Amino acid sequence: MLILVVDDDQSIRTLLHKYLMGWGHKVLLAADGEEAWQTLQSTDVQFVLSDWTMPHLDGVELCRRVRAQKRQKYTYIILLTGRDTKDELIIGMEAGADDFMVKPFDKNELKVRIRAGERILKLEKDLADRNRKLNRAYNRMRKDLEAAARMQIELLPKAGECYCGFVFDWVFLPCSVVAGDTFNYFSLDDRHLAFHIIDVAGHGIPAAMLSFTLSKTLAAAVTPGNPLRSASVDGSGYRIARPAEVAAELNQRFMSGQETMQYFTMVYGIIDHERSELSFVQAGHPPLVYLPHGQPARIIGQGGFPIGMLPVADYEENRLGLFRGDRIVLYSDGITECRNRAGEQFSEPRLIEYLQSYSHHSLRETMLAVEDALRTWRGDAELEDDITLLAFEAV
Amino acid sequence: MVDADLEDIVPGFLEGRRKDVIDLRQALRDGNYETVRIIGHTMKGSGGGYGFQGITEIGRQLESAAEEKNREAVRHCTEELADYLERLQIFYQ
Repeated sequence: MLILVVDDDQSIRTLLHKYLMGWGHKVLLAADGEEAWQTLQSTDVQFVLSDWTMPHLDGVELCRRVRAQKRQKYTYIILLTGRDTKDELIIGMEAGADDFMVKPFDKNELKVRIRAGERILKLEKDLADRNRKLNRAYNRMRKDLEAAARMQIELLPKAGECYCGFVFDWVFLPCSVVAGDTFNYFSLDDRHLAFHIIDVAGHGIPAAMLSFTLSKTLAAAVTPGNPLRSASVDGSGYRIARPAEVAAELNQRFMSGQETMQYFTMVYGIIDHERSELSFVQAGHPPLVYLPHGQPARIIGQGGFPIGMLPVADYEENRLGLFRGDRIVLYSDGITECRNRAGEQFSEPRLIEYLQSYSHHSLRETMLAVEDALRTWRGDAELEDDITLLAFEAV
Repeated sequence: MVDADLEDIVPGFLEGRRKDVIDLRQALRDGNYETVRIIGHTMKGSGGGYGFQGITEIGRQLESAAEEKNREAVRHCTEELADYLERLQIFYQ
């Protein structure tokens, strides 16, 4: 170890130099605090043995300077002094000394105190190394997470798009970088539109991985294994699966293993725009808010089982006629359970109240109003859950 | 008994103390108690480290005498130091 010896007494410098070299250390010498300070600026010495009383800059002031500078690596300082009162010890320690030895010092005591200092520096080095490794790992994971989040966002549909007489819009606020909520809407064919909103139980990466898989699974393309639309047996066309069939199929495919309980809630629906009819299945997800044009809002849905929780689960299908100006709003429980500072939840009635009071505004304005209300509601509190609001209107 | 590891630096240390005797006598003539105090303080801190507890003890008395501006005590300590150095026999171990 490289040790800086600071003392204005030549005989002490000589004595310490002799001992320290004998114990296998390398030694730098300084005749006062100012000289020591210059040495500390030009070398990476981390261990200082310093006298207290010296001309120009004393040992206590040297300690203060070292601590104030916040050197990149920790500097361990032992103050050597002829003062042996408790008050002096407190002054030295408060100035930043790590240890304190009264002169004349005992050779063996000095040896073990230096060893103790070496242990501290080694621990500090190990900790710094570990922190560097952790920071590297954290940065790598952060970058991966951000890339995953971008991939998730890219899967989301465009807000304000109009499909065959239905305009869709949404608000999406993930509570961590990646989300367990997902949603989409797309044409199944010229006559049918499909939409879904999904909330995977839990948060973070495990939830996001399942959410991502589900987004890819619930796609429009006629591909082998697509649960929404499959090629007909004779190969001449395709068959659109009913929402309840889709829920049952997903329940089989995504049944939780024995080790990990991972399930999700969902509303999946199909709009037949020729018949102006909506059919949907509710699988443990909050109910739909139905806002018939010019009439009060209604809650639709009986609950249903989450998907992936029970091996045998029946899913019921609901049907609803849709007319010009009617709105359907779907949401994740991150909205209704969003808490304000007092711990009060935003709640379903409050959401419905907003939706109702904005029913004469455009869908975009309604979405922004709810988003704004939620932001005001939670204040500067972190989101506890992902927030998704998905709505469409017959135009 | 002096640490055998210090054999090569002890003569230099003792030479320094002999010079202290000269400086102490001069300081005594000049009535310069601050110089006496500094020399005493230095001796107190270094003597024992080299294995000469007697030097540390004389240093302590010198420092104290200088603070009290006790001329007689300073003179006594100075001569005690001179005598100590004169009679000193060193055994390295």
